Amino acid sequence: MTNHVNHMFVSWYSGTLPEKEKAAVDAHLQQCKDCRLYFQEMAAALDSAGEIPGDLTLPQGFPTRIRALAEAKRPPRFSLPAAIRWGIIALAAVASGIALGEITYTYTRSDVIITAFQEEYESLNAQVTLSEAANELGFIAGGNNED
Amino acid sequence: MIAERKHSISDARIKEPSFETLYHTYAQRILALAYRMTFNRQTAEDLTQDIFIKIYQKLGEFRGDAHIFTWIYRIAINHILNFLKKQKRERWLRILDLPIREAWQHEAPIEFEIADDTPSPLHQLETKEVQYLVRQEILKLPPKYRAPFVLHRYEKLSHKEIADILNISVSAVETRIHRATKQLVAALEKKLKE
Repeated sequence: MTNHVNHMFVSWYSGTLPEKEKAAVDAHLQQCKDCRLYFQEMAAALDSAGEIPGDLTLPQGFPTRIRALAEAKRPPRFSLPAAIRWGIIALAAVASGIALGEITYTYTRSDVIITAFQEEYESLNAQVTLSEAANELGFIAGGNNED
Repeated sequence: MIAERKHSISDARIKEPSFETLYHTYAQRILALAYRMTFNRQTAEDLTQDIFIKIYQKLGEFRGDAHIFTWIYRIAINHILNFLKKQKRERWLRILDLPIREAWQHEAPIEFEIADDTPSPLHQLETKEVQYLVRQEILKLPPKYRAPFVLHRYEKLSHKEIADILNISVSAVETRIHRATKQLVAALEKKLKE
């Protein structure tokens, strides 16, 4: 490989070069000072950004603080004795039954009321003719006269 | 030192880990990861705290069918990525509150620190300048490129490990690292030519 390989730096640094090509680039870097310098400087510059300050450490007591915060944020978890749990379930079932009964009763009752209303309405209709009703409401000229 | 510890940790399958064990094994590494994703000490510490709160609360859900290492890193990186998304959204909302002229010229300042452990004053200055520049460019990378780049180059994880953590294919990991590196190299070269 006689040509410079600077254009291969990105793949070389990313670790995406196939093994054979990487070996060829590495071999070239052994011989070519310019390319070697470019690779070294570029890699050093990119690597420098990952340096960690020497005193970057977590403060003392950090795990205790985390534990306390985690417990405070956790939704409360407690279990009731089995008898109370079953009692609550039974009460819920009874309440559901009552609610269901109430709904059924109301529905049935409203059905009865509607039926009674319809019957009443039909009996009224039977006694009042359409023209009488229209006359009463003033839809027919001459209707609703003063006699 | 941190990177050297990786393999002994990742190779071990821990079935029922205690919170203390996990904390002592991973806290410093998660702090380093959070720092390298944000370059801000306080943010890194806050993120580490939140991540370990999640780990504490989810520990009962760990079934042992994956490496604990992968499980922890997945929680950590997802939390950091969510934080970055939220940060970006908040930055946009702040820009929306600015007068139009200011908003047009506005570029949110990137807050991060410079590591202070380099040798000679001259060399120190140059190194710090380069480090500052690269960090600025890393923070400009979309988080989905930044995460695999940081995990690979600074956390020394393999492409396969990163794929497992991010739940993407190995080829997607390679593409993202490649694009991130390309963007960083282009920015560096542009700066060198100035």
